[in-house]
Order: sequence, then structure tokens, then C-alpha cells
Amino acid sequence: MHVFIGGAYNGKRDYVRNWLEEQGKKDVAWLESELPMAVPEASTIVVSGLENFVAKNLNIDEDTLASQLLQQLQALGTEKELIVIVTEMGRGIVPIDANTRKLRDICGRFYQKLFKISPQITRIWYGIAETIK
Amino acid sequence: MVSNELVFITGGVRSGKSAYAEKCLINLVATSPKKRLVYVATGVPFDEEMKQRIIRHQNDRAGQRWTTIEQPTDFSKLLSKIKEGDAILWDCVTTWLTNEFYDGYETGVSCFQKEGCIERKFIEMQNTIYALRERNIPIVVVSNEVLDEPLSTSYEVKLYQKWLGRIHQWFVAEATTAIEMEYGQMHQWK
Repeated sequence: MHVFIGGAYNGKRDYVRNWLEEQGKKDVAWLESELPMAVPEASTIVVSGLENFVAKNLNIDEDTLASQLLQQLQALGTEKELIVIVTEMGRGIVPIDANTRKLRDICGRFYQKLFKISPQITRIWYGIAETIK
Repeated sequence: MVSNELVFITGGVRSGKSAYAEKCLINLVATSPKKRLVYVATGVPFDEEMKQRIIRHQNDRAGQRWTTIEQPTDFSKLLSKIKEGDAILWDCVTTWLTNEFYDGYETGVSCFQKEGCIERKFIEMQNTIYALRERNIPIVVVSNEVLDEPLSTSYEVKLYQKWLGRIHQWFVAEATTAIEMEYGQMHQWK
């Protein structure tokens, strides 16, 4: 598993796309804002935009949702090369809207768990990469 | 040939980025102490507090080598105001983008509501930066980090965030040095 994190519109997907191309990896399945029902055929799987998935499931308890996401990703990661792109959202002003606060909290909890299990973590800042782990 | 420094600095509110940027520009021209330091200001004095804020900033720089040029919009107009041998501190990109977004507001239609308007402003700004660098003018650019939080649900703000991200990516790609400030702690990415 390899996690890429960065703020919105920082060029995360472009970076990962180029990075995979440079390695000559062409057999890639991109999953946007969802988790697959079945394991995709491709040898490399990129999961991005999970914050949109979280936003649709705010009725689920913080720890439960974070754990569920983690389990599903872990299962994918044991079979395939897995790349997870996540959006930083915990470094601004506390949002006035309760649902946005909840979104931020769940994502924060989920990212913590994800960082713990992922052997590789890279931060993207406007197209530049930095190894965190 | 483009040979001069373009330093891009971002950071959160009160992260110490403006003070750092001023020092940075002074260091860049340390070998030519006669250079005029030009502060390109973007703030529009829309209320009394803002007027006072601007005056305070001007006083802070008074008596030194600083000259202030007000350039809230129409970035290319800067080209005729900058003299050979000047060095520029542009503070900041976020305020400039806000000004350009709402340019034309009094006519009933803001720039962001017009097809291709922001794109044109962005290209005008890019071309101005290219032209200044060709004239060997060192430039320090300051901006704000506002993309590390959930995206706004408002179309307008989201569009602003999208443009700001695109502009920041361009600056980081073009810059000779790119720095993120975190509460006085500097992180040099490039």
C-alpha cells in the first residue's frame, strides 16, 4: 500500500498518473469516490476521492466508518498493488456546518488508521512530492 | 534568458510569511544595496480599518528602501512602473485573485461569471512574471494556504479554490525556490 496525501487542487492525481507512467505501469484501475464491490482485474489499483464516499455516509459512527474503510482497503491491498490518494482537510478553520465538521473528523480518524498500516506515505504540495514514511 | 530568482512563499494566516518574504528579498539583493525594493500591494482600502491597516504597513516600510506600488488588478500595468534594477515583493496572490474574481462587480457581472475571464487574467499575470524575469528583476511572491480544509459547498468559493490551486502549482513549477511557512518554521520544498 502507498498513500498520497495533499490539499485540494494540489495536483495529487496528476502526480500519481505520471509516477505510474514513469514506472511503465499501464494495467491500472482507477476508482474515484468509491470502493469496489469486487476486486478489479488490473494489477494496480488507485483509490481516490474517498472523502466523497465519507460525505455520503455521515450517518455512520466515526470509528465504525473509518474501520470499515480501512478493512476494505487492507483486503484490496493484500491482493493487488494499492495506491490510495487522500485529501488533507484538517488544517483550516473549524467549519461552521456540523456535517462538514463530521466529515473532517471521520477523515482525520480514517487517515490516522491508514497512515499506521501503510508502509509508504508521500505528501504532495503543488506537484512536489515528499516522503513522510 | 531567464536567470533571476523567483521565490514563492505560502503559509497560513500569521505564519510569519510576510516578514520572511521581506527578509528574503533583502537577501536576494544583498550584493547590490542600491536596488529599489518595490512592494506590490494588492489590498483595496474598502473600509476605515483597511485604510489604517495599509497606512500602518506603509509606515513599517517608510524610511527604508521600500517603494509601494498599488496593483490590485491589471497586473501587466506593473511592467511600465518597474524600473531596471528593481526587486519586487508581491503580497499576495490570494488578494489579487479575489480582486480579479470580482472585477466588474459594479457593472452587475463579475469576472468569475464571464467565460474565460479568469483564464485571461491568469495568462496576463503569467506573461508579466515572464517579462519581469527576462528583465532580470528578482521577485518574491507571497500567498496563503487555504486548500488544506474541506472544499467549500459554495460554487463561487470552490471555483476560487480551484483557481488558486492551479495558480500555486504554476508558481511552484516556475519558482527557483518554493517555501511553505508553518508558524515561523520554514519548509523548503524546492
